[in-house]
This record gives sequence, C-alpha cells and structure tokens, in this order.
Amino acid sequence: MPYTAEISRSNPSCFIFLVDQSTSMEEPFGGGDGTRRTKQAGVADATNRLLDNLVIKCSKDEGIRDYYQVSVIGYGTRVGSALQGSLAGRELVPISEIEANSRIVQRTREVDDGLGGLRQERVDFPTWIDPIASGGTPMAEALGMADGILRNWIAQHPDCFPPIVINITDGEPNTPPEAAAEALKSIRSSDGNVLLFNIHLSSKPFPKIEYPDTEQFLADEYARLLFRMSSVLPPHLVAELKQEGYPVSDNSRGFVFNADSIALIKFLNIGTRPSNLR
Amino acid sequence: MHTTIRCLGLPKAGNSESEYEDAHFPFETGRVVDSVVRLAVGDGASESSFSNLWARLLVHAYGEGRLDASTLEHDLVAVQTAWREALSSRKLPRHAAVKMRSGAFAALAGLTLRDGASDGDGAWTALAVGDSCLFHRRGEEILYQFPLSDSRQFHHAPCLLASLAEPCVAALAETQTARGSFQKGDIFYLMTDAFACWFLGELERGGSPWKLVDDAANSAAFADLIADLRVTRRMKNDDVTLVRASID
Repeated sequence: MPYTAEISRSNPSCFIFLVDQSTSMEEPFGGGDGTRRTKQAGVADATNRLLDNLVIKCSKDEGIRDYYQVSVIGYGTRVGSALQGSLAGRELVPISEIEANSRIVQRTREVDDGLGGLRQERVDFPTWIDPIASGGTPMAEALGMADGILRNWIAQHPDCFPPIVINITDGEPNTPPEAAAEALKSIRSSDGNVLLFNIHLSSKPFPKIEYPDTEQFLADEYARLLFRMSSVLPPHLVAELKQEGYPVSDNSRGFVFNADSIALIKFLNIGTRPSNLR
Repeated sequence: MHTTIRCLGLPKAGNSESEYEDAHFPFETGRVVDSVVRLAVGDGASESSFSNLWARLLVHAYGEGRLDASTLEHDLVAVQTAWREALSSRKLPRHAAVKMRSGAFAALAGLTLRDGASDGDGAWTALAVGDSCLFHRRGEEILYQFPLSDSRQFHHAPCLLASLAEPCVAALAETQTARGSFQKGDIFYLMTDAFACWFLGELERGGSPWKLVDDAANSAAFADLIADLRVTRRMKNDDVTLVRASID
C-alpha cells in the first residue's frame, strides 16, 4: 500500500516549501482575524509555523532526529533558497540544522486569564524567513526547481516516504504552472508519488476552506487552479482528518484557502501517534 | 504459586538501546514463588517525548499493585506527578519544552495472577489501554486474547494513557478489563503491538506462533527471531517487548 513507508533517520523523507514572495504579497490578507496584515506577513508566518511544527514533530528526549531534510524556496524577483542567516543559499537542510539556526522573535498573544477575560502573554516565535514582496510570481520556475531537487533526492532515497511540497501563495502566477506541477507529482519513490499541497492566502475576505473535494465553491480562478494542481490526500491522511472532525472525503485534495495546514504535518506518521494527542 | 517469567525487549532496528521506548515488569527474567504475581508491558508512543519514562513508570506502578482498574483515574495521578517531577529539574531546549507540554503517551497491558485453592490453579485479571496484548495458552490452544482479537485492529493511532490529566480522559474511557482462571502448565504472553500483531496474524492463518516465541528463550535467540521477522517484513519495525509467564 502506498504512503506507508517508515520515516526514520535511516530512511528519511523530504519537505519542500515554496514561498510566494512577489509584489502582490504587499496587499492585505483577506482571511484571518480582521487585522490588516499583508499577505507577505501571512506567508512568512505560515511558513515559519510549518517549519516549527516539523521541528517539534522531530523532537525527542535527546534532541532533534533527522527524519526529514527541508528546502525552502522563495519565488519573486528571483527563485532560490529563502533561508537566511547561516543557512542562506542552502538547498536541502537536515531538520536538526533547521532547528539549530532559528531566530527567536517575541510575539504577543492573548490567553484566558482565568477570570473571564484575556491577558497578553509574550511567546517565543522561531523564524527562518522574513516577509518579502518583490517582483513577479514565477511559480512554474519554483516548481521546476523543486522538481530538480526531488529527482536527485529520490535517486538517493528510492524507498522513502514520498516527499511533500507545500506551496504557499496568493495564487497569481506569471505563467501557467500546471505542467510543472504535473511533472513534479509524477516523481515517485517505491512508496508513492510526490505530494503537492497548496496553501492559498487570498486578498478576498472569504471564509477558510480546508481540503475540499470539488472546485465548485472556490472563490476565483486562482483558487480553482491551485485546487486542480493539488494532490489527492493519501488514505491515511483522510482517515486522520476525519477522526479530527474535518469534513473530508476520499477525493479531498491537499488544498486550503485562507487557512493554515498544520494538520498535514501533525498527521504524518513517524511512528505511533496517539489519537488523544493534541 | 510458582511462576517462571521471561522478559525480553529490543529497540526498533536502527535505534540504540537508549532509544527503546517500551517497558516491562518485572525488569528481569526469573522464577517467582508468591501468591500474587503482577506482570506488565508498556509501549511509549514514538510521537511523544519522554514516553519511555512514562511507560516505565506505568509498568512499575502496575507491578507494585499501585494501578487498579477500578480506581485507575485516581491511581494515575501519582504516576503522572512522578513523570512531571522527574522532568521538572531538567533544562530543556524550546522544542523539547513545547513538545513536553503535550505530555507523554503509552499503551499498557497488565496481568495479575492470584493463587487458587489447589496447587497451581488460580485466577487472573487483566487491564489494557491501547494495543499491547495478552495471550493465554493451554497446551496447543490459545484460550484468550486481549484486548485485540483481530490483527486488522492494529493501527497507527491508538488511544493511549497520557502523562497529563486532560488527554488521559479519552484513554480512561477506553480502558478494558478481563478475567479468567488458570491451571498448572498454562502460559501467558504479554506483548507490545508489533509483536502482538504478528502473533495474532499467525494465529489467524492457523499457525502456532508460540513455538517460535518459546524457542527464543534467551536474548540472542530472541534477537535472531525478531531480526528474521523484520527482514522478511512479517513484522513492522518497532520496539518489541515480550513477558512470558509459565505456571509451574
């Protein structure tokens, strides 16, 4: 059965994040909490949160286990590694090195004060990329760069759990990206095809949509394009999302609109994941 | 009651001994003469941190008679406190501290044997949360398998005992108990999930897997058996633990 390969240090898998850094990301984000945050800030936050969740997933008693290698590719004025600091320019980085090279920034969040109100609490927020908005949207080129990285990866790890590519964008590409997406999804290990998931952060103030199985109710042509490019979710992810209360079907795709996709990382099975773990 | 107990455990292939997240009680193979004998296996979930510590605390508590099915929620509080206190003085990096806040998780299967009126006879009780299993054999027959009875019931997301009270609520609701009687010559096997899944699958195919298990009487033979089951893909690569008790 596909998508069942063990993920371990001796048989690691791979994550690639494609991060839209085009000029249109300066526009305000339509979803979320009503604050007028820009899409570039939303994309950077989504990417940093996904990376942090991946780090925590690989955290064990003694440290970080290298279950994954990670690439973060930005696309805007240029297409290339979006990692900064000592990881700048690196194409594929073990998750332990990702963790070791985070920059912690302080954020404020509101928490229950236990008295019926809210109080502000300062939290550490690890970051790896900053908000950028510059240039066009060469999504097809970014997909092509991921394609090259993954063909090399699969040659070296032919039996790995299939790599996952998460594209975070406002979905307004310069050139049609469908062919590059199809080529990317055709790459396969012995355990199945590469999975392409899309996170669409739109300026349109529409409610979030998570893992739809039809494009019928999507807001615009860009959302429908990204839906069609997205992989159908593997059966185990569908089962886990169902158990978590998501209204998914066997045809649901790895596509979310104005939402995060932390669940996709949460439900990757490195080993036994208790159903009561939140 | 005279009981010969064999305890064997191995980490997942590719992991070191220190990364073994199962646990068993008692800790060592031996022969016990007592009117009450308690045995347990625990399986710390690999997706949580410090789950080996949690599994060890659970089997230890069960083995010392501090975990009873009828008062499990209450009894667990002391074990959960012990887990927290064992980690409270450790300076953890941010990722580990964040993960620790989700708690540790483990399956538990415990068996208590009590002397009966006549020599070698008695009654047993068992409790289980999760997918660690008990098998009761008499001669060439498995009399009882608990809590799972079908190899297709094993999956990646069982509900497990948690080191934090809140996520433990769901697991407590799924606690299962069983009881029965035993006689001289009976054999009990407690196994963590990967081994139990293979064992149950062999039973479903009409096999007698206890013959292989009984032949693997020491660490080296057990390691050979497990390596063979893994290489031939008859068993998934996971920590493996067996406690075998024969009523002499």
